[in-house]
Amino acid sequence: MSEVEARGLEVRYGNFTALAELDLKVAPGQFLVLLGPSGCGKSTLLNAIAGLQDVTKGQVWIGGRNVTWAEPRDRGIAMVFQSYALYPKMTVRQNLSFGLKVAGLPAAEIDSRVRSAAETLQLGALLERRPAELSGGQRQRVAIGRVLVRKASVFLFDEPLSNLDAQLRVELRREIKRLHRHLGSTSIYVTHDQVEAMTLADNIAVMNKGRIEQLGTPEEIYGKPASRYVAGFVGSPAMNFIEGTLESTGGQPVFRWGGRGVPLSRYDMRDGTHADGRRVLMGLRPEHALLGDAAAAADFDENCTIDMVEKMGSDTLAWCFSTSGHQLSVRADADSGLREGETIRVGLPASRLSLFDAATGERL
Amino acid sequence: MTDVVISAQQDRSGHAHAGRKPRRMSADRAGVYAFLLICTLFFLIPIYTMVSTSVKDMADIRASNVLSPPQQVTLAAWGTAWNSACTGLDCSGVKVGFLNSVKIVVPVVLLSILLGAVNGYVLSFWRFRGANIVFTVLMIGAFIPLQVVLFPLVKMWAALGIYGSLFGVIAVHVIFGLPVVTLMYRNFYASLPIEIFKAARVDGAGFWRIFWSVMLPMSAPITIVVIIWQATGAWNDYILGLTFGGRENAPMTVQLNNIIGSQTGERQFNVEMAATLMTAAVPLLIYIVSGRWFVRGIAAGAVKG
Repeated sequence: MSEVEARGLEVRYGNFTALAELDLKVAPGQFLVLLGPSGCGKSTLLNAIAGLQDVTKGQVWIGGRNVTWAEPRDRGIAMVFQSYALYPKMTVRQNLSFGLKVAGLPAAEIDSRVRSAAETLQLGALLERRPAELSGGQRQRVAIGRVLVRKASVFLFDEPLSNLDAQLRVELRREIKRLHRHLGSTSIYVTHDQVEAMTLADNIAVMNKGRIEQLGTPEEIYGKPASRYVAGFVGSPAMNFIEGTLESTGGQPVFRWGGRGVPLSRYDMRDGTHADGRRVLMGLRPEHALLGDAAAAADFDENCTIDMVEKMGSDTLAWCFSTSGHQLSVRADADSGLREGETIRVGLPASRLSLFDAATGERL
Repeated sequence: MTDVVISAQQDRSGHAHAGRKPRRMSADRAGVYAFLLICTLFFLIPIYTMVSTSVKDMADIRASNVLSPPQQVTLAAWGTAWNSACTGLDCSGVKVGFLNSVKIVVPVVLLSILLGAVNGYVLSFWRFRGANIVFTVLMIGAFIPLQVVLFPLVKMWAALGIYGSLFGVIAVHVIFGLPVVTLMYRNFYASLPIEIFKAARVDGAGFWRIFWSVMLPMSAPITIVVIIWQATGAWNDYILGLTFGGRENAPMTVQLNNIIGSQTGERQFNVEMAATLMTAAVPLLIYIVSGRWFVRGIAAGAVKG
């Protein structure tokens, strides 16, 4: 189990900066997810760590060694790709053993490793088949098997589940998590799917324009997003945002908009933030809104007229217009019986809000 | 959206199909068929003439016109053409040229595949600084007419001591074919997912290992195209064989021309026809056998396999 580290890593294509002076440390055995939209540099970072992408500046360290210019095979890594990347003319067995053969392992050792990987992934019956004769899920299992047989100390995953249908994705997600628990290899996993990120990760690094916006546990990323960008990207349905000002009333900070104010005495404000009337964005997750009787106990509450109701099955999402003219989405129980046109009371608990500087986007 | 739903429902209830079934044959249909028939005849009549003439004997040829069928089918002219047709004083038939052509075409095809595949592989996967320039230069090479460089090439080959040798002809064919063959392989490899290449690198395979074990086995569709392309090209070639082959290595096309050009006295049409048919048979056979794959290989880039 190796530590993986990027030191001041920079990758540029001509004038385009794909990675900008990026520092990242992944502890041995940790499962790190790189999360971000396409073009944010997450795959570039993974490829740079794998040695498949030349870096412009900076260093890559794996297991205490500077491997910046080492060949991929000399880095102690194994990798799973989005398109499976199986060798089409080889059988499953040949696909699994190719890397070991190249490494010159004895046949008996290769055979036992292939057999054990096939057993772990339930591929035993498919060993003599070609990739074309396998389903998508089976193919990705083989790709994961190719990682297992290498007994690498670092596993790299490049959007491995994106090509699969929803059900298989959930199934293989669990399988990957179980494998990680079982093997404990340091893992770096690239995805744009926040559910995958939340469920798999020990730590999530949310990336934007070649930088890491926030690095933290899934709870931190979700509950205390470090920036407006992270808050908007993580969470589905998305966070509600209201623009207003941060002012001070009687020594206490208050969020004000349209003549209304949310007292923030219970908000965990970052030290050194001055309530000086600056423009801020207030963020509220739909499930943190308090409805009905509970709303009265919140730091602030007002009426909201329901415009549309979306039933998710497990719960219900209601879109409503508040009396201050903002559209809010609030989550309610599936059996709450909310109807379109109905006016409900919505409460905002200050402790669960997120405040961002409107100019810089940083959390306050 | 609503429209779509309604028409689909109509379909199911059968209303949309209520009209009369269209008639199979109409005036314009007949016109099209007539045109196609004429085109077919246009191309088939010369071939018919060649085949029928080649199986007539000389008396038959003298007595009938070119379109009349043979009185009696004889393969004597084919035997003569193969074994004892004369070019000047040498009377050992087109089999000499046939063997020469085989000796040229087989190495040309093998070398073209190998060099073109490696070139395409490098240009697609091992991008180096200036790869685009190399590729552009190669493409310009594909459009340079042969005749322009013929004379300098003769001088160069003579200086290298390979002028008039079998190797000299083969080398010229391979070099002139390389731009197009490289382009074919490069485009084919560019259509493959790059992740297969990355996976092989992570698996520890090096330049040649990836080429032999991963890329070449996947290259069958484009290799078939290259085989057809280069084999027919080299077989049908006349000018390169004539210029670089010298007397001993003259390919079948050159020999055919010599046989037809050097005859004195009564023209032996049947022997000439037979020799021509034999010369044309090889590329024809290649097309008939592998035409199906040819189309498939050309289209292979379009659909990810």
